[in-house]
Amino acid sequence: MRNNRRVITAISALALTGVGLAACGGGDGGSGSGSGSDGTLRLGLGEPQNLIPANIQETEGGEIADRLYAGLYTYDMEGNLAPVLADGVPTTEDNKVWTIKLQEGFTFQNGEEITAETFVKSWNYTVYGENANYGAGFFKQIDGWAEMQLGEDPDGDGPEEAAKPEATELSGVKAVDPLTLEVTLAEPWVGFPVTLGYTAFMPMADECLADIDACNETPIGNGPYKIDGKWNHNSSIHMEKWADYKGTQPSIERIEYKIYTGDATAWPDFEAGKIDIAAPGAEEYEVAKAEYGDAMREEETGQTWGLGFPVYDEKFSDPNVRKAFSMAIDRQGYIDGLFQGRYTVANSYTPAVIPGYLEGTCGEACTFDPEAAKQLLADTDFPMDQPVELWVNSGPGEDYLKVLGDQLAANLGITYELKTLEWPDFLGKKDGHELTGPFLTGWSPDYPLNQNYLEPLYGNGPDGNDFGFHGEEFEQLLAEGNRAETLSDAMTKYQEAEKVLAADLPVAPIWVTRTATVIGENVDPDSFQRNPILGTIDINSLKLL
Amino acid sequence: MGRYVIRRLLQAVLTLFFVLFLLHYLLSLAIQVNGNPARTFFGDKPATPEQIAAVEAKFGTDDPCLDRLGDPCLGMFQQRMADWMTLDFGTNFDGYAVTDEIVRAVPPTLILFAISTSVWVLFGVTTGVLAAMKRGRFFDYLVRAGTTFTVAVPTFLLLVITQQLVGVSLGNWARDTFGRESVLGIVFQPSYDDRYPFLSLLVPGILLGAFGIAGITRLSRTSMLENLRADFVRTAKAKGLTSRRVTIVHTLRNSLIPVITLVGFTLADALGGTVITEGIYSIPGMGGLAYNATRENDLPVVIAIVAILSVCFMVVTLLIDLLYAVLDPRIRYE
Repeated sequence: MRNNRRVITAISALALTGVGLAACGGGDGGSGSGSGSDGTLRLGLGEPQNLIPANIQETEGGEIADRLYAGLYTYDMEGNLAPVLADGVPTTEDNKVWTIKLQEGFTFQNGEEITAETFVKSWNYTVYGENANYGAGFFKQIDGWAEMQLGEDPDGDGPEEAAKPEATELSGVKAVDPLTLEVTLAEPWVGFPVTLGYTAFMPMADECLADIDACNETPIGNGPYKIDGKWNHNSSIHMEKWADYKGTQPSIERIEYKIYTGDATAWPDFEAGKIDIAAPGAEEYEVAKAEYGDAMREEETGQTWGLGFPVYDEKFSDPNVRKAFSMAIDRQGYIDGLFQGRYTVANSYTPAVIPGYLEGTCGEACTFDPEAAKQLLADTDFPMDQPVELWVNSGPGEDYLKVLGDQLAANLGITYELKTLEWPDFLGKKDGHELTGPFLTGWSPDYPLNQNYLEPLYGNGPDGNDFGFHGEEFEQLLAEGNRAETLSDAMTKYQEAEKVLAADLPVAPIWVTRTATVIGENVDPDSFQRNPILGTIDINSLKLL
Repeated sequence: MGRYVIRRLLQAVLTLFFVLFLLHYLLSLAIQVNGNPARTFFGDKPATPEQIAAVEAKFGTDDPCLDRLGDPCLGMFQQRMADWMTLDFGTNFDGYAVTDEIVRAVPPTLILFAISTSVWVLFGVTTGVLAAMKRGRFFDYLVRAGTTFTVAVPTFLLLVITQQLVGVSLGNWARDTFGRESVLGIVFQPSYDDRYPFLSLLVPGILLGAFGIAGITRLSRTSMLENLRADFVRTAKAKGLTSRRVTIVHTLRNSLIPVITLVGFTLADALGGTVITEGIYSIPGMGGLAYNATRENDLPVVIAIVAILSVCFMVVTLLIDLLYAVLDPRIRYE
């Protein structure tokens, strides 16, 4: 028995030394207690998919690119084009040929100069079909885009390769002289400059293009920050202020991004004081709001969600059926119940942060009126005896759609059936017009112009959009807008198109997402602002305390 | 002994091949049923068939067999095995080498496993043995109640609560008292820190160890009790051996055989636990890699990970079988 006691003693001794060691270590680091205000901003981030501007498609990659790279233009807080590398806004005589002047003296972090030729080379790389870059689609309106894409595959997915692209250079982009870039569009479009602030148009160094994989791991940027070390996948990205940057120098010396993997978020680390700015998730939102009060900022975004209708389906081809469904949705009640009231009711197709926004274009169709909705539906040929199939991809959207389905069932007297598909299957069926009932659909802007919420989604004829929608007057007005002389004329035309669209209602707009951000005690809360278009924090204005 | 090992290894290779093929078939089927993951590259945005074809080529999902439901895609499997022979594990959907991804993910998971295995062996076996020695006393009841408690509390809940209480509340106290970079401040934090891999993995490692510890403790206790009453122990005592020698050499050694089997299987089970633990503590390890790859249908990554895990599992079972021989002379001399 004595021996056993000795074992216990040994274990407790071990435990005690462990604590003792820890306590010793604790004493050593005691001096720097509390705040970490050492000129470093600590932020959390999900693992980016890619850090090459041409291939960035999500906010994570966009956040890093925004720090390391600088483009011709960016967007200001109102969504207007603001020159960075460019000298003034693009000029044109006919809205078809655009001239962009560059400022002198900007370089990459490896010393390479940035000239018009840099953009020609970068954009050729981005667009070339075989490189399969996500950003290629942003150049569609430029002359010669189609010739840069892979040809039709002769046997579908068969053993024969698709034809190589006809051209290796985008014919619509020319360097007239080292500081002048000339872009020719396939069709005149007054909205073209608005697209240029996006990540896909950022320049890449020759050294980067020569070895894209290496450049992805250790980006060669030209922006206010320079990467420190390399991209530590799934764990961190560190960067330091680049003193040779010719543009506006930010005040923060160093940024350390910690990468969170899987479903983990930065929130627990923010509460533990290891992250300076973080967004609470849905579960933490109410607690965070109560606890942090004014330190929590909520801002509108450009992300809209709605219930899409299969206009191609006989049951939903009557606009009154779609209108009845839309009027049966209690939008505010839905947002309060499902999202703790944190999102905004959508009553237009274009959200408020986008230039060209017009309030209430959806009008009566987006106003909750269950009586009128029921009456409207009764006057149509809608088959009430069959359950309505509601389609969604697996994930949180299932809950969103279920709550919506319950509302529709209660207010319209219909029954519904939830149809869940995996993401690729859902997208494929949506493309192929195989969804047999309303589905949940969202949109994030590619560029800040109301046209972006209209033409790519509902234009291009019945086979060119997911809804099988074809509005002749709508497309006519869009075309007039595209050919307008000035941007404000174009926006007015697009607004008219939006009003016409709202009468046909291929989608019932429901909510616009808002972000919630909590600012830690190391950051000056008055200096914080989030760019509503890019979705990133404005680093130039941000200050540490 | 040598022939025994060789026979076991041959079996292992055959099993591995079978597992890989089954997995390949299931994943191909998943793509055939759920659609080609290349389409998700563009998300909600429209994409032309040519753009999708280019991405399919990049993802390696352009084989036409993936469009035919039920097609086993033998060509793809053959190609993959041929590549593996040259140690080429391919690239994932984002274009990164699978080998690099795995090499990065292995160390944190290994540390995590090392910590939890120590917890099982040091804590589980010790308390089990002590409970058996003090049968019917307070300590024994404490151990039995404690094990019931760990089984009853869901792992997920335990992880989330610990993250909040130990990582945030206790950790904030430690960081305020001793400083941000103090050992306690780092040990008690709510997520993995790549500057201090071992220290920041201590708490999640212990929690992962709590998962499965009940079985090991209980089994050690029962097995010990059984052997304490065995004839050879009575003989040893009668021979006049010291009680220390009787306990350690005669009873404990024989009691460890079933426990070691269980440790091996618990380790395999714990792989499931790492997915949750790594997810909550944001540890860039194998569990998280497997989870994300499966969710995105990232074929090359899933197959490579499962291959590695199968090999590990087989090595562990082989080691257990060999350890039997070491522990039990009757098996050794057969």
